[in-house]
Amino acid sequence: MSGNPAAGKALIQSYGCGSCHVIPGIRTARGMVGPPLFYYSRRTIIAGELPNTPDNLVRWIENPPAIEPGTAMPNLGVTDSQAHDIAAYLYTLR
Amino acid sequence: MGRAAKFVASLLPLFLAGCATVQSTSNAHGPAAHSIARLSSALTITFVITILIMWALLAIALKKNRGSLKEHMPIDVGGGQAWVAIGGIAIPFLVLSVFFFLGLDLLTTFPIHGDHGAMNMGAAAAKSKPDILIIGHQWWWEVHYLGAANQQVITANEIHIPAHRPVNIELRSADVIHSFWVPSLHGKVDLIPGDVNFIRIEASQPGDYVGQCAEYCGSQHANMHILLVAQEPAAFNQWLANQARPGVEPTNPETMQGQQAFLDGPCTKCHTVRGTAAAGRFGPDLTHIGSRKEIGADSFPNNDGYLEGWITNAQSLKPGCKMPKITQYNGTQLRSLVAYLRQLQ
Ligand code: HEC
Ligand code: HEC
Ligand SMILES: [Cu+2]
Repeated sequence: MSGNPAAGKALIQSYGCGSCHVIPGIRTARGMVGPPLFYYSRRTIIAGELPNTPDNLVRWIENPPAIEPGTAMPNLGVTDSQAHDIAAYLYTLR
Repeated sequence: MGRAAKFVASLLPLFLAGCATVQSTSNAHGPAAHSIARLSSALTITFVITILIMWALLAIALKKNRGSLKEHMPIDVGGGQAWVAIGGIAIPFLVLSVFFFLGLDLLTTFPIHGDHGAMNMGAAAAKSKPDILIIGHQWWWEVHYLGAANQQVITANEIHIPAHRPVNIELRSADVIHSFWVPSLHGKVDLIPGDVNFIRIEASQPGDYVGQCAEYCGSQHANMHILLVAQEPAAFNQWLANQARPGVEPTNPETMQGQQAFLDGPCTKCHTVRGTAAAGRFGPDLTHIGSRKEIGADSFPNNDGYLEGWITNAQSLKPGCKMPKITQYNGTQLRSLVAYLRQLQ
């Protein structure tokens, strides 16, 4: 997985992923809108739709409505390299 | 690194953060704050010098070490009364008297009126018509601009003022006692239910000043932040003129759907968007929510992520706050609702 988990952590904070998800290791990430992202590297399916591969996770983070049009998770305008960083952080959750 | 070194290193940011933060009395940016900062540095220096003298005296006493535990001096040995009279009574009396008058003098720098303020200042503040009315709510700030009579400007949580000139503010409370405090600009003034207080503040330069409710007011007291934006007068007037306009009408299909979701939902019971049917007064005015930097009384950045999280589940972000969980929308409606609110510039 290319991507910098430390940068990912800061991006998660600034985009506000934590307003919807409980995310281990992120201060104030206690949102109860979407699923908690515990043990994310061990997950097999992303959002009940996609196999949990790095590529798919990056795709999901960049534009969730493109994969699941009715989802409440917004397209937050995350760029490709930012999405790699964020995914790298989520894969540290073992 | 050793354990101890690591521990000390982990504490360092705490101290550094203490210096860098904007929310500090010693980071003064206005006349009132300068007086307060001067008095508090004078107090701190006096305190440090006093402590040093006391430790030195203690060290001398220990060094002299007259007698031992077995064989000590008789308890009624003479001498020492002069130390008590001068060091324990005369000097403290002098020092504290000086600070008492300096403290009294400080009251003139931020005029407060009401039953709780300095009496001589009541007249000054009451005579000048307030520019801004701030009403404290559990746990957010309602802000009215009282300028021209035909201008209806109500906003919340983000308070803009023109820099370089005094601004008179009237303070009231809708529920319990709150306290308005932007440490870089002025001292604390309480908002008291059924009573009115006034404060005059002045920012010596434009900038974002952060503050905090300074009187415990319930579970979310700590998240009752203040963002005070001081602007050049021209920029301020522009801002005010924009805030006086009704909410921006949506123009594309997504934001139009969002407005519909907003008007059909429970939001209108508690929130106002001027120019629409939404006229609730229980929560913050949202007419220009898109122009605000933060939400939840300046607790979270105002971006798509935090805003949507807030709208559906404010309770998970600010537990106990007076905005309920809202579960009636589907994903598409939520995203469009956020798009609508964000364009309310
Ligand atoms: C406004 C709320 C919201 C925000 C903000 C948000 N998400 Fe989500 N997220 C959701 C929801 C709701 C789901 C469930 C989606 C679904 O299954 O359709 C979800 C699903 C996910 C999933 C899949 C979870 C699973 O159980 O498979 C991941 C991973 C994820 N989000 C990561 C992120 C990241 C990273 C961010 C920040 C860049 C973010 N989310 C921001 C609401 C949000
Ligand atoms: C029962 C009343 C109530 C309802 C219904 C309600 N809100 Fe709120 N809302 C509040 C209160 C009270 C606050 C202030 C909370 C705080 O910061 O402590 C608030 C805060 C907000 C804020 C943040 C404003 C700011 O300046 O910090 C937004 C945005 C918001 N609400 C949007 C909505 C939307 C959109 C809806 C409808 C889906 C809605 N609210 C429904 C009471 C309500
Ligand atoms: Cu308070």
